[in-house]
Amino acid sequence: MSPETLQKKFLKGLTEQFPDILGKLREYVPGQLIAVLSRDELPKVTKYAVNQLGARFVITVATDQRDKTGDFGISYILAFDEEKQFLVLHSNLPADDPRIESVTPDVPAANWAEREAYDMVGIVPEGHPDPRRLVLPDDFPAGIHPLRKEYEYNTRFPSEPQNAPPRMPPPEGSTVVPLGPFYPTLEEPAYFRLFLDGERVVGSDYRGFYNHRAVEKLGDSELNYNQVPFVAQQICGICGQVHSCAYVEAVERACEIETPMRAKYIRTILLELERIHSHLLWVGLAGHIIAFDTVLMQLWRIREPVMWLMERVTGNRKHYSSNLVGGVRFDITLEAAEDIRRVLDKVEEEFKAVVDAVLIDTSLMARLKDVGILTEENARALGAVGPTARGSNVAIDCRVDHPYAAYDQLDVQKQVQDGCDCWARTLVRLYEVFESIRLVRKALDQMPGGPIMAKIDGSLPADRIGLCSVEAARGESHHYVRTGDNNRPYRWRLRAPTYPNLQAVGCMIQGVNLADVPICIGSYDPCFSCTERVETLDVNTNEIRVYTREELQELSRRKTLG
Amino acid sequence: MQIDTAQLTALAIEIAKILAAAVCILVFILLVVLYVVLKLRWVIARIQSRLGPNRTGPWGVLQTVADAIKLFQKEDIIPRGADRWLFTIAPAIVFIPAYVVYVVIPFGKGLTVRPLDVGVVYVTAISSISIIGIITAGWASNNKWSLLGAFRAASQLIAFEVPVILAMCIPVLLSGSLNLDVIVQKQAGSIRDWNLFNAFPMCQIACLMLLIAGLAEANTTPFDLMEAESELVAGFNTEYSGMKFALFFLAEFAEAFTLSALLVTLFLGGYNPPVHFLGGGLTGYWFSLVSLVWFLVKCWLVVVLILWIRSTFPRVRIDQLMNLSWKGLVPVGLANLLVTGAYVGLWVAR
Amino acid sequence: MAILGFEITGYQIAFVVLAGITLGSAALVVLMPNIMRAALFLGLTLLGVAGLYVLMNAAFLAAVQVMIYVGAVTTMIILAIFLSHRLMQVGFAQAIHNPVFAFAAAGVMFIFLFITVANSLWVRDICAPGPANTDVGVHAVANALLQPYVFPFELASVVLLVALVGAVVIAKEDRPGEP
Repeated sequence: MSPETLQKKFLKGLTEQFPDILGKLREYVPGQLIAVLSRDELPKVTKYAVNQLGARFVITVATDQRDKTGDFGISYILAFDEEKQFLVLHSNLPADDPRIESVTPDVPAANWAEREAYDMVGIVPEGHPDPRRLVLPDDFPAGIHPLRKEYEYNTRFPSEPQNAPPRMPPPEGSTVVPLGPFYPTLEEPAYFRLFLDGERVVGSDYRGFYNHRAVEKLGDSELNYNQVPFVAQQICGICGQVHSCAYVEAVERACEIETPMRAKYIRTILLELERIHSHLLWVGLAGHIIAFDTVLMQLWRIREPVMWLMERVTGNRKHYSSNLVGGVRFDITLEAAEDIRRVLDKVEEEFKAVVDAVLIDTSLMARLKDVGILTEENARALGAVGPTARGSNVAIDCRVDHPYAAYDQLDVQKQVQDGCDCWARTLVRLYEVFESIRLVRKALDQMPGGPIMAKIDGSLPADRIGLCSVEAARGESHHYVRTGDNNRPYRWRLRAPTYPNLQAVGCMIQGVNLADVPICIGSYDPCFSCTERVETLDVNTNEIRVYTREELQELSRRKTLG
Repeated sequence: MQIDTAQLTALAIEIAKILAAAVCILVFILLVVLYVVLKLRWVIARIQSRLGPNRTGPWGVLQTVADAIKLFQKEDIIPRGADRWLFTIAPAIVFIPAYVVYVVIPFGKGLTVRPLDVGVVYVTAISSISIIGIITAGWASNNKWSLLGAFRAASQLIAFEVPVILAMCIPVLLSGSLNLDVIVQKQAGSIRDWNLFNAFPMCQIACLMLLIAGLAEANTTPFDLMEAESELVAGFNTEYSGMKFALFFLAEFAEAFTLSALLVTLFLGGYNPPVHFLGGGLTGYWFSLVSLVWFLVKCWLVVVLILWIRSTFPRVRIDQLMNLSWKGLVPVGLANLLVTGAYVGLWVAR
Repeated sequence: MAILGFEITGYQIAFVVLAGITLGSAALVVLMPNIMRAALFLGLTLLGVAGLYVLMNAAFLAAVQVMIYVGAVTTMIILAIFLSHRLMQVGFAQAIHNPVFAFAAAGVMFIFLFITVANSLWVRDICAPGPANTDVGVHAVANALLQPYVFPFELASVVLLVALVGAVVIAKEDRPGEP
């Protein structure tokens, strides 16, 4: 352990309460402490760290490691943002009795993570207040945990419709109104059951994960290190660069690969351009949700040149396929850099005009101010991230707190608002666009020359753990990689920003008018496909099919012609 | 049984006249709606830096015709669990009032189908029937979103009927008649004789009130709460398709045109030309023709204004809308009515 | 035109049709098992009454009848149905819980109306068809309301105001938790 880590405040707090923990801590990667604890200690330490020391719960990683050590592993990842530190609390659970005491009653942010650990690997969270099925489809067989190693990535399971999780009963006297699974302003399937008293929301229940795509299973079984980024970038339709970048940085950290500085700068520039076009997209969508389509059309027009820029640099509007372990595939030439500067000047000018109009638009404020309140206390308790958290005065931003790529050299300014409402979240995003434009310009100015790919000889070492948090437009995307044999990751776990933010929605829409529910849900910029990436199964047909290009064309023609 | 031929012939002619007028109005409504929807797309496209329809026919003018043909071909769906009878009759309850209102609108000199002496009251009375159709549609659909839309519709339409009537009282008081034709004739002359430029500030307030409340009555953005797609899927007409949906659609745009026609008639001099030498001196059929053109030009301007408003405001929330009516427009309208009454009684009548 | 020796005018045909619609839909209001449909037929009844007013050359009264009774009162009744049954609950039904009491109440009402109608002094010519001159009618109504009948008119508005205030008070008390 490095001497400066030993000086950190959280460690002192932790060793005061648990004196023998010091001997169990290991620091393989700077800023990432790993402690192997017994299963009785782990929940105690987690609760203490979160509730007394101000740690932020990130995610749990459940691993089936029976082929190596004969037991299951569970890791609770915590973040001490102010001290730029990750803490991984790991425990090994016997294969015949994988139980662990649930921390959810004291750490509400762990709710979904523990349910998912049960669904996917079968780690039983004892004393969980709401242990319903979360991730698996309604008709998935009971007792099968698909992320265990005995199941292949393409195993097909029988349909057992009786396994659908029970629905939350509505409060007495309220009416259930279904919002979803398909709803006009949420472009992806999500099913909120709203409990209404008149038009006022008195409660809600969420059932989602309709888009499972077995990404983690593929990463654990089939893909090698350099195939994963190409799958990771397709997790999301917007933040592809975020996911592939977070994954490769996690591997690079675990295996101590020295990535060339120029590659890091290129990643940074692409990430910031992605944030710009994502935020522009969001502002447009928010306008659409409150029936202000002019905002939608104008913002998307302003956004379009940024998409062309991405195509100019990487050859693709989306799915840039830019990142590999050790570097990037596409260089930014001098001419491309000039194009980027030119386009950003125009975007900045046009966006400035929009922002000036938005900031004085009282009719917009009437719809957004004091709507969808997420208090600072709740935002922290539920582990909200990104603009959702920063709009509630929680100053966390991975670019500053857990720097990756070249952000440690760019002096990022966090954009924080204390309004706690939809308007505050809007302001955070508006100001972040300008900050991102500044960062891209600065990165272009500072970018050093040199290679864009590190030289990697032989296979990467096994059984190391790397973490990386990347600040996506929606918040922190967290990737965890445990390296394995044969140049394949042993366990790859990822948590998209919508995952914690979605859990905060119930709190946000409590008591609001039905008319405000879409903008509340919209205000944290939901990305359901990011969140739902684990398992694939067509509920209706139980059929896994690959369509050829011709078949797809034929299908679309048939549909169009009726 | 004796049959009086002369009486029968007179009856037949009368019925034929009524039918002809009915068909004329129907065709007019269809053409207006086709044009307004097209114009809506052009205006909104221009405001949003887009091109708008420009492919079907010259400059895209046939786009809405194509859309209408497509709409008529759609499958007519009645959802399971719906009240079939009410579900079917509801679009008619909404459309027929929007249609028969046109009976009293003075399109030009001598071009009113029936210049009723209670014209203004007739317009508000007939328009108020369509609320029942909307509620029926929402309830009969057996869909929670539809019912919520219907609920909103009821509260919204009732709330805004009051300011509409209060606003329409002002020109009625000034002209001393409920007959729309008489109101128009009192504004004859030049632009200075229009109600909008008289009786400052009562008429201007009333005009603005009629515009705002009328937009809410006609259910256009920013007041389209009863079918707000991002909140209520499609509101009361969620389950409707094909011809039935087309009737709702027609009624909505017919009402929007009625609003502009009322604004023109009550405040903008109706069919009178703005200056005397642009047709004011004509008589007989020529004046009828010229006045019809002026009426349509003015209506066109008001329609463009409505479309402009439509694309530059976000939708308000239901509670904000209710506050606007009950706490804003109604008190202002009542005070305005009082002041105007005093003005007419103490000043004009003397 | 004469049928079976009776002289039939267009006016009489119109009267029979409108009266038929009014009475028929009034009967349906009572007989419909579905309360929502019953409310809609009430709207039709009131519309029929408005038609009868038109026949009596009382166009202003007819228009106001449509505006107030069809546009507002029927809508309010439907809203009341929505609110008194729990929102979204579809199975509305109306039931006669005590037929004897219902018949008794209806009978008393009928006797009262019959005596009133029979003892009224009817001016025959007022319902005869004739050239419409309703502008005079509007003025006549206005003068009548503000001169001889100003007291009952104002009294009616005070009663409505009291009802309105009372409704607000009752609605306020419904939720004890809120200020």
